[in-house]
Amino acid sequence: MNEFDATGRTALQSAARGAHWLVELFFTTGTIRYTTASVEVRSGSDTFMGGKAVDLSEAKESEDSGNDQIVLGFTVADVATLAAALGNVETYRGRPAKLWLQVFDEAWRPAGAKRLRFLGEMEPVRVVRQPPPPEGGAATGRIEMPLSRAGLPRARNADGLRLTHQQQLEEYPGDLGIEYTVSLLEKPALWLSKEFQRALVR
Amino acid sequence: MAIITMPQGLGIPPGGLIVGQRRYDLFEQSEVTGDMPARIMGPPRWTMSINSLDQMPKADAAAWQAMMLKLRGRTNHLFAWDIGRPVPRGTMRGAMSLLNSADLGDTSISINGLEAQAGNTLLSGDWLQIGTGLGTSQLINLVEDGTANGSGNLTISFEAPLRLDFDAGTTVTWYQAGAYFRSTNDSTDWTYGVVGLQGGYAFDLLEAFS
Repeated sequence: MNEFDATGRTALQSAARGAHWLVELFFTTGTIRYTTASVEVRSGSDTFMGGKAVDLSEAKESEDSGNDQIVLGFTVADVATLAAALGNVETYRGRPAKLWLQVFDEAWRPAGAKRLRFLGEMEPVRVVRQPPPPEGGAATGRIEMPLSRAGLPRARNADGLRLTHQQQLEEYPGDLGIEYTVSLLEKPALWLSKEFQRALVR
Repeated sequence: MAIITMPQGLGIPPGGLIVGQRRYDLFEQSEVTGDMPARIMGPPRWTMSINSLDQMPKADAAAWQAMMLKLRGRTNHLFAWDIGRPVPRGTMRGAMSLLNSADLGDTSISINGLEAQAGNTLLSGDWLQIGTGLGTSQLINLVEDGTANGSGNLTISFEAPLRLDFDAGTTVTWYQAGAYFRSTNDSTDWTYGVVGLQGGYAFDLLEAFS
């Protein structure tokens, strides 16, 4: 079961505690670790860089195979982060990305081990720019890296996952077991009880 | 990014220095039970607001002007200390270092002050700087009094909790113990008054960890 250890549970049950994401990105050139916290975080044997204005879109859990992505955002103001995110896409596209949740106690000390909450793949980054407001000010920008679950591009069309009659014939010639699947889906049949059917006939 | 050190001898008028701490906590309160859990979003940071005299000789104003311009808005860091309390209220002086290693989150440490400091004190409100350098040091404020034992060692309690681990033997600075700040202002301006006088320098600082 993916649950927090005793130290983490104790911190979560206290009146003052914190939590931040720990992000592991497995580039071909090496693993880069960030945290949404404002300072460096050491969890276990790994050190996660902080103060990089990294943020994550809403992360939620569901029982269905939703096609939501988690978007990892970087600030364009940090040159080192910019270099990592805008490098050769072949160094990261399709490679693993892990999101861990780390709980902190009231003294900003990591409480318990980090917990893995998401495992997915990195997709090519996009740069989002906001022009200066009309009343004056600075233009802003951010780099967004979508993180998707493995197999998500194929799963985006949920119907594509369903085995078709033609696919079944290719693998098992002569097997007509799912011949009427599409018909059943398109024309749902109303199932009636025997008693009700007898009553209709009478 | 460069580190600018606050010049010595800056003339600050009464009320011209405000030192504080900013916390980053979120609170929610239950309407039903009154419970108020706090979510700690990050370690607290020291703040400092400094204002110069409105009118001062140009030679004195030059030091202010150079400091503010060197900061380049929010680009560079300023190493600054509490001008109102540059030395401890207590009597402990001399070379100090950590007696034992200190871990992230600690709010109590033991200081090695050598035998000559036996019986001397560090008092509540005194500033100490553990370590040196941007990102490798921390400014702490004592919240309890302490007296050094016969070996010159004493244990102190402080705020804010340590953000870093420090090894035994790490230097502890008591004279002009400071931290690294960044300005929160983008613009810099000053005023001219009576011939030969200028002033009106003011800026707000927020501690920067890196």
